[in-house]
Amino acid sequence: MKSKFIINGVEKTLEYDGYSLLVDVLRANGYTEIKEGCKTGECGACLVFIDDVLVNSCQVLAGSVAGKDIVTVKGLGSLFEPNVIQESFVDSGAVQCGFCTPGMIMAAYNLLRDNKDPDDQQIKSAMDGNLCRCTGYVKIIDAVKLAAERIRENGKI
Amino acid sequence: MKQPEWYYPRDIEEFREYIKLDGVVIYGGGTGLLRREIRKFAGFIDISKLPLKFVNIAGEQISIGGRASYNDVASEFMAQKPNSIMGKSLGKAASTPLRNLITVGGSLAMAPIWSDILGPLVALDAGIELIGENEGEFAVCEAIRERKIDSKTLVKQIDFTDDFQRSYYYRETRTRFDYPAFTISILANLLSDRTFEDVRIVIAGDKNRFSRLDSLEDKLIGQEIANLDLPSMIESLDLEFADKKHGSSNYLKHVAQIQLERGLKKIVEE
Repeated sequence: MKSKFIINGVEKTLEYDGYSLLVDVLRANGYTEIKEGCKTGECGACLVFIDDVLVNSCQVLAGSVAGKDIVTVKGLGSLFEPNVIQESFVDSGAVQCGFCTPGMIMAAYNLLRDNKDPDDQQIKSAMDGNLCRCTGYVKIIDAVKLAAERIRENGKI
Repeated sequence: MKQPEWYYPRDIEEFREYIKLDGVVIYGGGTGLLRREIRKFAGFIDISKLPLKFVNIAGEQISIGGRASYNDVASEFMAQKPNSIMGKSLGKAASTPLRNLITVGGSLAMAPIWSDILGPLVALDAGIELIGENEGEFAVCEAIRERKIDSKTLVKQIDFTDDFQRSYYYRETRTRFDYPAFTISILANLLSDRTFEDVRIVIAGDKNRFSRLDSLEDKLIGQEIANLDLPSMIESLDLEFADKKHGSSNYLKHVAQIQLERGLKKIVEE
């Protein structure tokens, strides 16, 4: 089947199997920043925003998202113009193998757009759907705190 | 390769037409559906355009649309009615992104034994309105026991009165993300002398799927907890669990008894 999607602000028409998961359709069409981890909704590597709501793209059939607005981690910032959260992850050394990082940044964005001064517990709660296979959680939490500090200083996310 | 049809009804009447088709299934949040063999379905009825994504809290009267997600419900209750068991229970289920997907209707349709919504709704004596094959209004416990919410039936909304000042929710899990082996829901109103004016207790995940502990409720009403021999009262309850990955039936019974006692003490201390 064919459907239109708005991906990172750009309208795209994609052809896909009507039983496909969103993560598979997006990756097959070049959006490989979305990682395929557990495919059971537990690891958070495949997180995207659909109509501004954070979801696991491995738990969504692509047909249910037809016509909707999808944002991946590349929609938050690019290599040349990174988002403050992306910069903070780099500056904090919060990236080890990097596999979980897109999902971690998406979850952090979801938190920080509503709460610019989260405490440790709020950060842990907000990242409750993300697993880091390198177990680098301490630096990830540091990165979220650094991002929050920068957002408070700059006034924008 | 055979392809499914996708239907996107905009109102209930349009939904009624689609649900008559052979081989179609309702697609709400999708998380429960994906645990089934989806290629057997000839079509999906995506209900995201139906006006069922709402949480109305008007004092003690509550209505929740079948398409409302766990996070919709938890965030609305935490903001408007933080003492309610609804925010405490649904806010603890699964993870942040999954709570954005899991819907109230889907959760009741699938009614897995680990469901975090069943115990609270049974304790609240909630009613449910169904559309489709088993159309009508039922008590939630009746709809679940009699399997009214089949694949041709849509959860339109649930309604209940929540006039409880205190609530307690416990989920027995091995890790934070785990499915609970069982849950305990307690609602209570206390009089100024700290005696129970009203109390409701439900354990979900036992051998009966869920049990309202009426006999214990009756013994508590009019009493002050400090004057009761709670361990003996709880020991005499007819609680039964199946063996689960979380532990043996005896182990789960023992944990449930301890947590029930703690819950009752905690709800009084709050």
